[in-house]
Amino acid sequence: MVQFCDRIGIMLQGKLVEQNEAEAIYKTPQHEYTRKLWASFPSLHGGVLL
Amino acid sequence: MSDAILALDKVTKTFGHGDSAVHAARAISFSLHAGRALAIVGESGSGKTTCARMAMREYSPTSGQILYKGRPVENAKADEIARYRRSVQMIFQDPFASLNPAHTIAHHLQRPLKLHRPDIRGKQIDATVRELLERVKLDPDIVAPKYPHELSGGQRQRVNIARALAAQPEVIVADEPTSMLDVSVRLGVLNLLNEMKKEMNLGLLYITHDIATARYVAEDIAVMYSGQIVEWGNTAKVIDNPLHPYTRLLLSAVPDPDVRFDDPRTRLQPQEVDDIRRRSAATQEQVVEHEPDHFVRMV
Repeated sequence: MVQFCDRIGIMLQGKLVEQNEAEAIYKTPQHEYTRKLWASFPSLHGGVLL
Repeated sequence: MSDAILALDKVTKTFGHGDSAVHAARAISFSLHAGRALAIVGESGSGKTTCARMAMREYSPTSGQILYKGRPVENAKADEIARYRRSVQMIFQDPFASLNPAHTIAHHLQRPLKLHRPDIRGKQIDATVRELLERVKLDPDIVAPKYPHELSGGQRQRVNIARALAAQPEVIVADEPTSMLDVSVRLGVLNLLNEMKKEMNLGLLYITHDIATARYVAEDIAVMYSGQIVEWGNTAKVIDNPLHPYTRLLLSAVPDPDVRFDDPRTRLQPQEVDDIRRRSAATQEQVVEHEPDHFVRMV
């Protein structure tokens, strides 16, 4: 996603809880749910992203 | 390391004859140990599912042997085959197709208990069904009476894991168990597999095209291309220091949020990719041990 899109919006229970430039969403997530979402991706370097 | 529960010894599988023959597996050797996971990674058509199916005795090898606790399974007697089938259980890729839509979740879990566990009968069966569902972190009161269509993909895959555990297996073969799941539930299923592996001392054969999840789940890794294991060993060593050109190619295809697709520096030239594939597809006899527990075939 981050590689492909310019802007990303994060939806939770029908609401757009956060939207921003792709890189900002990945590097400085503001919403708790965005953080949790990143932490659900296993990383190639061990553990999970973020 | 403990003795291997299940091992493939120079196993080859060829489909078709003559010019149209497909060499799906070429001299494949690996072993599964209690409490450890082996990941087989590779692209579609690399032969990873053929390996899984041979381990399940769904296909019989063209040549080579499958060993269960050191004994070849090929000429096993009926009772030994029954023991093997109980001991090696499978989790499928598609959580939607692998449950019967006409039956409840309770029914799905009672069946393997009735078939493989003669020690439990009557009311004990229902108690064990509850236990199995709790073990995969599903609420038995809610889930047991439901039908598959009433559950989410992640819940169904948990039911599949419970069904595999019902037979008290020693080995679980999981063929892409998370590739059809939503990313947010994928990690939950991977954590569950990790937990089962440790707590129940299971040997896990984890087939995937997703190297990042392989690192998350498996201690050992084997990279397959064109029916051949091209590089294998300790997962961290192989991923952090890939030696075979195909392993490098596979790793370069993993999405990395720190690199953008339109970044020209990260793009491999098509002729480079073709060249790597062509060289990697040739039979490579010579194996080098680059460091302890890290092997690579010479190109």
